[in-house]
Amino acid sequence: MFAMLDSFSVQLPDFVRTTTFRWTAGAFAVCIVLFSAFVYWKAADYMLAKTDAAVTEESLAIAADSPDRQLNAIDDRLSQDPRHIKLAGLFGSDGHRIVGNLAGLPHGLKIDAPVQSAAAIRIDQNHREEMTVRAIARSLPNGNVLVIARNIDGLKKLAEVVARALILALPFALGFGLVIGMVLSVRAQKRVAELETLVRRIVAGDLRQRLPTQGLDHPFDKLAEIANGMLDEIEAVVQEMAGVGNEMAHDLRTPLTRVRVGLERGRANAKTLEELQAVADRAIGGVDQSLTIITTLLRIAEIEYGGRLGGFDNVALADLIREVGDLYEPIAEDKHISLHIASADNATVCGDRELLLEAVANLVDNALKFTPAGGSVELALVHGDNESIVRVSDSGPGIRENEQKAVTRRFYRSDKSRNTFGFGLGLSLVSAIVKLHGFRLTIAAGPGCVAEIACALPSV
Amino acid sequence: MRLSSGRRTPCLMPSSRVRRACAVRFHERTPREFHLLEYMMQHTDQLLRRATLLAKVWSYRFVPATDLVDVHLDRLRHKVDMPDEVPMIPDVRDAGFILRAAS
Repeated sequence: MFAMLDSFSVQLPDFVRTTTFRWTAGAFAVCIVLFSAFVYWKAADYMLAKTDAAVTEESLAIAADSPDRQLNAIDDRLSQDPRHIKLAGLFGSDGHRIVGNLAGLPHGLKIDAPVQSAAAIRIDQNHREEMTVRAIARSLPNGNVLVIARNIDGLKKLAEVVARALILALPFALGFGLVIGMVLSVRAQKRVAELETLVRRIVAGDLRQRLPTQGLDHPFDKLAEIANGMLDEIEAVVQEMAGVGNEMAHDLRTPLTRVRVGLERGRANAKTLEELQAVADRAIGGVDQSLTIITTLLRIAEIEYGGRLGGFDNVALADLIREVGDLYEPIAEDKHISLHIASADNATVCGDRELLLEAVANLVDNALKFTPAGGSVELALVHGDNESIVRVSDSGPGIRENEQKAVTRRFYRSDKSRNTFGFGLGLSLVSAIVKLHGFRLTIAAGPGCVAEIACALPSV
Repeated sequence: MRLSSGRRTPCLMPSSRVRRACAVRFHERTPREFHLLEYMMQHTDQLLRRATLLAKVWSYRFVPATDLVDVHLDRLRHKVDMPDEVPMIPDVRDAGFILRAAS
């Protein structure tokens, strides 16, 4: 059927080529054929059961009669048979026919067994006919054998009736199936076309577009929901990127403007070489600040997209945090913050030592920056579930819940830290490094910031 | 930048001051501080940016938000300068640090 459709599909409309349409039509046809077969099977079963019951009942009734009345009963039975489907015979113990319309004991018929199929020859005054019957044979007390049978050619007729019904119904059913297939596939095509226009609009840059859902549990709705979720993410990322562009321009402009003003003033006012050199020093400092921002951004990009997996090696975390502790100990002391280093665990993870050191140092750096004098910062290595956790906790103000996600964004600076020196890039760098390693970064909200890097231990 | 002009009081050569510092004040020296001094001595009279020092001495490529380098340099200064001496490592405002070889 598909081949036939194929050969026509040049002229047929598009929906004919859709899978929905083909499957619907095909499934319909198969269902009709199966259904017909089932109807035939059940009807035939019923007919056989009825025939068997009638044959058994008759044989029992006749066998129960006295021998001389049996002959009459058989004759009666045969005479009330306008359709010529009843067969009966009484045979002597030597096998010769005493009465009945059976030419002989049917071949292979088991005596005193339940009703069975057999081939029998029916005879009457002028002709003999071979037929398939359901028959039962009973041995009588006097040694005779009683055979009662019934023609089951009716089953063939039943098959013919079912086939005829099938032939009549199939075109209708097929037509109906085609219509349903058409409706379904046209509907699907319409939705696809709808989606296509919307997607085109989105591709053209209108990221606020969302795919429509009908609020049903339809696969298309699910697909639309998935796509919408994806669009939400993309929109957020694009907005973030745009925000990053703005912030970056702003953060670069501030020091550069200061440099420019300083140079202008220096050029106009500097009297001695010494003064001019001082102006140049300040300018270098300002330019360095801008360069730092650019370097850091490039570094984050390098980590995010470069994949420095080549430099991965075994890193002992305890040594690493000890080194970070040594590095920051003087700063903590200067700021009157107590810095505790605790490493209960001595795990080795697979990673880039330099980058991991940088990530941990950044967290400690941040913690020290935001913790007021007299506070404390703890750098601990704790054993987790199949992972090792580097935990940096401080007694500072912490971050608010609504900032939790934003802090790892580039250039994000909490309002509290607006007036502190910093580029808002530290945590994005940590986040990039952690992501590169396949580790997990969590920053808990609430007072007393707790930042954790959960390092997955290499499977042994 | 302060010029090494006649206004400066003469002082010991850095190397000898360092030697003294090593003997007297580095008894609890940390390898990093020693490494920092060593690097600065190899680059006397050059303006060394904070980022450069971090990268070369600590192999640390990111500029921290805290004044990490300044604090470490302060500690180093305390060890190489006596209270009455001209600072050996003057702070060049925002730009960085210079270890002066005596003129």
